[in-house]
Amino acid sequence: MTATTPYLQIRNISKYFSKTAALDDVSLEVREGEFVFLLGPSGCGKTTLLRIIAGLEEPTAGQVIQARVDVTKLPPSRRDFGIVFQSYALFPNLTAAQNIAYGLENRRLPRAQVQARVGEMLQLVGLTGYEARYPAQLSGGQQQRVALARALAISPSLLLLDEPLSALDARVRARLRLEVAALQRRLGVTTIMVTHDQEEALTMADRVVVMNRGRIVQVGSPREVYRAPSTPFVADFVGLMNFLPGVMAAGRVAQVRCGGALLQVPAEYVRGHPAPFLAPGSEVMVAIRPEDVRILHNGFDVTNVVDTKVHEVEFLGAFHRLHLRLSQPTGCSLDLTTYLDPGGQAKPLHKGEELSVHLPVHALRVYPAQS
Amino acid sequence: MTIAYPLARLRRIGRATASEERLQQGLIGLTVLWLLIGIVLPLAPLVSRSLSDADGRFVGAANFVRYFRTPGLAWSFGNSLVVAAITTVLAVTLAFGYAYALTRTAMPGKGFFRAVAMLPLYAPSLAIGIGLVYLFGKKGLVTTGFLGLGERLLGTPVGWDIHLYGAVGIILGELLYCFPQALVILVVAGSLTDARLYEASHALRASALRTLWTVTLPSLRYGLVSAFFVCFTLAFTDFGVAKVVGGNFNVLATDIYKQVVGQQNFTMGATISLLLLTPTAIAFILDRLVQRKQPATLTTRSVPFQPKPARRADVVGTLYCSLIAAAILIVIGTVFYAAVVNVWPYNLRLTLRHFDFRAVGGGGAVAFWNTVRMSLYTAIVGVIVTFGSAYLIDKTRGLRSLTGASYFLSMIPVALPGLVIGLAYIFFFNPRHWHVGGLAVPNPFNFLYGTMAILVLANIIHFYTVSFMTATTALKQLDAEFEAVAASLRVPFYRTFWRVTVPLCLPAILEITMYYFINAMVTVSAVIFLYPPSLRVASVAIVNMDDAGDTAAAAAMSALLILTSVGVRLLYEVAARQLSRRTQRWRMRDA
Repeated sequence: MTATTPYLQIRNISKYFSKTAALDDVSLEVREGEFVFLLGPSGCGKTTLLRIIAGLEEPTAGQVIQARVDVTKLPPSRRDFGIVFQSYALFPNLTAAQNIAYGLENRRLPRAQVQARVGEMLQLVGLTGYEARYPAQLSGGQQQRVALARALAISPSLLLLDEPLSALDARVRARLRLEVAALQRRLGVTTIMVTHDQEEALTMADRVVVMNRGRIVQVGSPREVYRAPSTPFVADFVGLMNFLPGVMAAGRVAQVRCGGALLQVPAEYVRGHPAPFLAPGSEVMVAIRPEDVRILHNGFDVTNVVDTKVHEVEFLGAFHRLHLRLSQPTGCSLDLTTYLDPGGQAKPLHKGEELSVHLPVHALRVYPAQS
Repeated sequence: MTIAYPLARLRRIGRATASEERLQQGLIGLTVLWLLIGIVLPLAPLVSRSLSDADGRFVGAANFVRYFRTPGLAWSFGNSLVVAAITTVLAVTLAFGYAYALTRTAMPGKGFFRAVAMLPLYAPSLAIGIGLVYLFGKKGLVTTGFLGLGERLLGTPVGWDIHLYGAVGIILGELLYCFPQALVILVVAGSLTDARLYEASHALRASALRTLWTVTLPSLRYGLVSAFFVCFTLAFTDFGVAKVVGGNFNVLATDIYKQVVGQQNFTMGATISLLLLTPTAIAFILDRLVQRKQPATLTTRSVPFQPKPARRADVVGTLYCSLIAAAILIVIGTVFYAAVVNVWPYNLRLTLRHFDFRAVGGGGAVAFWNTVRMSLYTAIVGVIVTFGSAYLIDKTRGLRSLTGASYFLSMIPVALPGLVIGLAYIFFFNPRHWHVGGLAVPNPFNFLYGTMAILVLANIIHFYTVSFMTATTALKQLDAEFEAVAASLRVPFYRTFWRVTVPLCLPAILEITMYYFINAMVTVSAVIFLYPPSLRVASVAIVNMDDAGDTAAAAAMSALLILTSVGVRLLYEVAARQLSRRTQRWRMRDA
């Protein structure tokens, strides 16, 4: 065995709840010290997977190997992990200090040692001075940090976080994102966090595991998942994405006919490498991120220029979001985000205005149309 | 290079907590076992007795055929049904109005009205019967026109004989007996209404009647069904009222008593028991079917309803509640008055001589103290067993079949009349040997028979379901992840139970303790077949005194029971307030 042996291995895990599959043959490896996110819409099986890793649910099939030990059949109390739930599950009748000490008191440690550790943990999460407060007397963010301190107090080798930020309001959530990520890096504890918030996953994760309908759809770094989503589902779930239905055109250059326009797409789709080969005539979806769409103010001699009409202008404070409609009989709508020019040079756009936009070849991704 | 994973630590933890898991599984096994012994197994000999003749030969339905062919007996079944049906409709209707006034109007004195309405819960049903006798009996206050006072003042007889003994008396008595039970359910259901529904109805300009029909009634629907079920079961199976004011109007409950105690005819007793059990079991199943469909009416986002003052509704509510509260106070008050009058109705001087029970049969003061002891034991053992069972059923991971079976078994007692439990216990615990398929098996539980323990067990089972539901509801309100967090911190479940679960559920635990105590104080049906001569209890003493014509002594004993129950309840309220100030500090939002 070498140092590259993953700390946690999930092998072919399936979970059935009376014939409906919550998890369908899921395999995943997590390296020691890694911060991995399970990301997906509600009901995708991400929480079930976390609970199976914790031993709170039993898988119907498959194995969980933690630190090279098969823990699949072990109850939670015989595994090595700390957990924070969405509800925090703080004991309401115990103070913050008593909550943090809860797992320590059971180990016949000297009282002074327990107190020292509690103080250390309170300092770690920035709550020194709050030890005597009951959970009801703490704010949501403070409760969340007590729950984190309680889970970390026993120095677990694995930290499991089940949507720990989703009960907080937006501002606190954004701040705690950074705090939790910094804490994880400092302690180097292997961490798996469940979330349905793609922004959370992109900002905090080492690796993102995108799940849908009980399966893993894509595993990769936040950048990979955002820039090269492997399926339309991932593309749509992580960030905003425009989809234009079309048909692969024949020819030497990779091209897709979308309504009246002929869009050139990266050559890999004709080579079949590294992307799958898409035969001429097959129905496809061309995808582009809103921020990759370029507005052309004067005629430029580039490929992939389409004529559109402004359908809606949404003011979002720091920027405008334009909803454009392709000037094609197909009537496809194209979503586009553009930033407000701070120099005020961009001329204000109005509904109904005609606009030419450039869809750069390298920014386009093509997916087989779903059946 | 190998990384030193904390393998050894994992292994050590493994052995330490495996035993903890086994402990929990062993405990849930014990839960099933005690529920089987307390509920299911005793019912078997009861059923087999009803299908056998006096010598133990199997005769099929012959006993039931004989029952319905004996004119004196067959009538009782119809009588019980009719009386119970009328009582149920009246009690639920009256309680509905009372609950409506308490929860939907801004009338004054709600605390008083609520407390008075609960009074019958603290009295044995026998006492209600006795109160009615002193009001409407042959020499009752009303019957004699206030003992001739009316005639002397007005010059003409003003007595009014309602012909108490019989159906009228039973219905009146059961009505008072059932009213608070229906009211408790309807008030709870009535408080679970989302104020936003009323606001929406008001904003849409719906009439008051339409609001009643579309908002109030639907939210009370499940409560109404439950109230019907509870009242029917109580009225159909109650023994106390019928015993005192039934006269020649026979009902099933008094028939069982006569067959078993009077004629020692256990076979017919078992047969009638099953007839008593069948309608309550059907009502129970219907109620379960309806309740299963109940959606959560109150979500965390609901806004509690605060009634606004409305002159006409408040005045009507006050008048209505005053009338009913007066009726309750008059009946209970009459019991107290009868207890202190020297010789009713000839010598109205006040005296305490009826509280000297040495002159009358029934066991007297000893019986009273036995009842207090029995109630204490029932409360203490009952709350431990009930809360423990509810906890294990709710929290045990895995073993679904055992927890499911335990939950199902816990629902059964609410459909079991006390007399049925008593008779079943005789058949199950009394024989030294059970005869199973021609084999004589030594009865390992025989030692319980004729002891305080069997009285306590019968009481716990009799009042088990309501207590169990109180415990389960409280447990379900706790965060479901407490146990998961504790397990991840490797704290054994019993430690979390003691440090977190019990403190958080303390209000429910105290409430269950109180419920067991009060009910054990006033019950007669569950213990009347089971008490040994050395362990007479107060409620049975009331039956015996009443039988012997010592009605004043019976009234005195009733008054004593009511005073004790109410007194203990008041003490409890004070103590609970003190206790909660000390132990529930964490509920307060400010440090």
